[in-house]
Amino acid sequence: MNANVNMALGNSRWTPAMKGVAWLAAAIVLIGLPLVVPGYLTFQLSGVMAYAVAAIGLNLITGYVGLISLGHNAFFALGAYTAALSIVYFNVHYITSVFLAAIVSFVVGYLAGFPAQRLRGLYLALITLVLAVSVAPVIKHFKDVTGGMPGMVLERPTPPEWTGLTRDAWIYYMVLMFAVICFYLAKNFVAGSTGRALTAIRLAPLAASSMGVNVNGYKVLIFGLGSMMAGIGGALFNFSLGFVGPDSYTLMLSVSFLAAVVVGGIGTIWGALIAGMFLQFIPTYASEISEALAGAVYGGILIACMFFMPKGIAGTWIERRQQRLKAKDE
Amino acid sequence: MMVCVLHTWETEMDYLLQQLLNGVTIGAVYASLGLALVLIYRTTNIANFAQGEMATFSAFLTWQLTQWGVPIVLSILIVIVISAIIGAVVYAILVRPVQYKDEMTIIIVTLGLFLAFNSTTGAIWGYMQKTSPTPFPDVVWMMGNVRVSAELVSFILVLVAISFGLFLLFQKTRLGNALRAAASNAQSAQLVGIPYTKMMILGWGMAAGLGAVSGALVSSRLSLDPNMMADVIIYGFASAVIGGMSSYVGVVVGGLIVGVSKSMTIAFLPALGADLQIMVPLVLIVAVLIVKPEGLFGKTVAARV
Amino acid sequence: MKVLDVKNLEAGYGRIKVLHGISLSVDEGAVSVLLGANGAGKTTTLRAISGLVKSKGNILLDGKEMSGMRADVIARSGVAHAAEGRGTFTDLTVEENLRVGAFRRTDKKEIALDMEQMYELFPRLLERRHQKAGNLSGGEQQMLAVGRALMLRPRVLLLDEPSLGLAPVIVNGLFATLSRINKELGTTMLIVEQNANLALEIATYAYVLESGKISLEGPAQEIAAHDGVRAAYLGD
Repeated sequence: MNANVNMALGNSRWTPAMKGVAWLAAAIVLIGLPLVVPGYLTFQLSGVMAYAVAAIGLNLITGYVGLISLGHNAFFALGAYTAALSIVYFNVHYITSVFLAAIVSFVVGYLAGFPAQRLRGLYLALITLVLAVSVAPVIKHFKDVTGGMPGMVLERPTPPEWTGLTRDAWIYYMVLMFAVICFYLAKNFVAGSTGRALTAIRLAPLAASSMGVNVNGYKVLIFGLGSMMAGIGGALFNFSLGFVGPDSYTLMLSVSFLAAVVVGGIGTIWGALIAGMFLQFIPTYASEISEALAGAVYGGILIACMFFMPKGIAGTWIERRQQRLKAKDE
Repeated sequence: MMVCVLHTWETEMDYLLQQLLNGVTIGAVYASLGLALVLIYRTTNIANFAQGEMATFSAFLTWQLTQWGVPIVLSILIVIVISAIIGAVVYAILVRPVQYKDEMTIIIVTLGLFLAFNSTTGAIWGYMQKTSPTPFPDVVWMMGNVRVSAELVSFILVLVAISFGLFLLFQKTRLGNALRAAASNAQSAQLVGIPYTKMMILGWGMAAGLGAVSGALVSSRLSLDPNMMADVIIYGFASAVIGGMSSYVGVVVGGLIVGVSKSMTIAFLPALGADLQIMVPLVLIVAVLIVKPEGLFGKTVAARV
Repeated sequence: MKVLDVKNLEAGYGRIKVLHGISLSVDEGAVSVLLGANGAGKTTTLRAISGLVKSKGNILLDGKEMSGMRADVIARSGVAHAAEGRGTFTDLTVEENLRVGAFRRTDKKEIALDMEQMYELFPRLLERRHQKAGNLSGGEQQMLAVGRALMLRPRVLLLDEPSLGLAPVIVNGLFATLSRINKELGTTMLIVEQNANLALEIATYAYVLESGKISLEGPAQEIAAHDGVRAAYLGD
């Protein structure tokens, strides 16, 4: 899909030099942000990026391969708790905790992907639904280890003395670093023939397999990778929140992930960034509009988006750009 | 000594039976919502995630009517009609524009409806629990040492009546055939003169009416609160999926399986603890789907290419 | 007496225009054939007449204007379209498929008689009457599609490439039955076909469609004898 972004940008008047400048400008903005923006906003932006990483994962599973997963919250929680438990019980460094979360989420996600080979659409959605509602009971059952219902408080990463940064800023940079790496990995993964194979699996699985694409192999792999991203996102979210508890990982979160990914743009990596913003800001925005009807506002936004922008914000943007370019060619 | 042994056995058998009946009672509740889900799925090919929340809304409407002095049974009947209208309107305005789009879009819209209905119910009536008057007589019969409540019998009767009614409608009437035809092939249906949109509206309306019945059953057991259907919907889907999404008998059987497995787990596996017990029926669903993806009663239709 | 009269029909899909103003008609009790290569617009023509595709121009059924109406309204008025790909209701049984064709009719006795007649015309359907339509072979599904269309007691029957994907021996039988239906029931037909030979044999009048325009028309035998047509569509 990023081929499309490149196409959209590349076929236009943007020369490689201009593109380079644009990336540099974006980098400067991202890096400079915490220095100019109030601490609270920096804190929220860390959340945006953590969510965005998880959203990339869901985008891989649902957007590229077309497997509907309502269980993304489970892997987000898995990553968060893996990281939390490793820090609390084994004194692991917070950066290492992210890698641990990634490994565990990948393995579990990979295994969870096996049912996906046989089930389509609605039935897969239901199995993932079971995953989603299992999170709280499992956490509560092993409450001696996990802290149960009240959850566990974590120590948030402290900035080293020599940087002179605030805690919020330091966390922001840590999360940013991981987010950039994940973005880059995801972009490269779906570029070229792998991306095409994935799209083929989503649109015409029979045809794809008859052409030699290892459909089942890809499905399990994507589940693993997507879940890994969710786990990384969960671990990163720990940095900013400093707390894990079963109420943070309900079915509602899964629904929100799915909604955010769709609004951001299914099948686009950039859409994940919009998804991250959606997840961080919309719930508050909805309660501001109407305290009681926050859910209705949220629901209304979803429905409106499906009516007017079914490809999501990023997807529609890319589509419009391509249409404009085509019109120019004619 | 002999007497003591016999007595213990007797109690355990009674306990088993009692739990079985409990399971059947809850299972009937799940099946009732499952029926509404299957109805919408079979007539419109859409899995309506908002079905439970619409049923909750109906249950609250019923409560409201009783607060205004309308007798409970009449309230339920009136609300069934109102719910059917609401279902029809929701379809016509919010679902029809997107019904041909991909699965994802439709799922998101139904999830949006879920949120909207849930929130609206809470906004109108608040989140304090209320008790809803029950339409069922508060009678309990004893069969040996086992308690059989009028509630249980009523649930079963309602369930059987609905399933039978649906069976008659779909298999034996012209309208039923038309509904199935419309779901099977929209274009061909129009070409034989079936007004496709009207069929869809009918399907959603009926399902919403059914949902109202389900809401009535649930609220007679639990106290009334906006989130009461949140669990039921999952078990409702489970019943439908185990049954195979295409058979009303299947849903009922599926519901009973889910309900009984739940009550049996609570009764005989206390070691698992309250939290994990909820998961046993869910794990059961997963197992069924992995082994027989089309459900127990579903048929895989070979697609002739 | 023209049952179906189409004048200056223009139709397409979105920005792509397929038909650029065609005119054709079918007399009562006659069989008209529309020939043409793939992509010429034959299917679009039928879909425009039955209302599945938006169009401009006049579509008159027994003199009444049909264009712009909804597909199910047009069907109720007497246009039965057996679409490409058969379009049977795969989840319904053969019997239910036939019965649903009579959905808008209220004359129970006549419906029962018609059902019997369909089974008489298509004995294979009688054998399989309680089987799901999805399990039928291609030829049987085509018979079912025709039978269901006839249950509407239509003023005109539109058939889209009935021979598509069927073995020659089945196609022969099918066209023989179509001829019988036309002669015994007097059903007016508009048949779209690539397989011109058989179609022309049972037809009274023929049109040739090329790139969305009628390039040739005339009595069926004349068209069948036409050199150009023979070269392009009859394999000579």
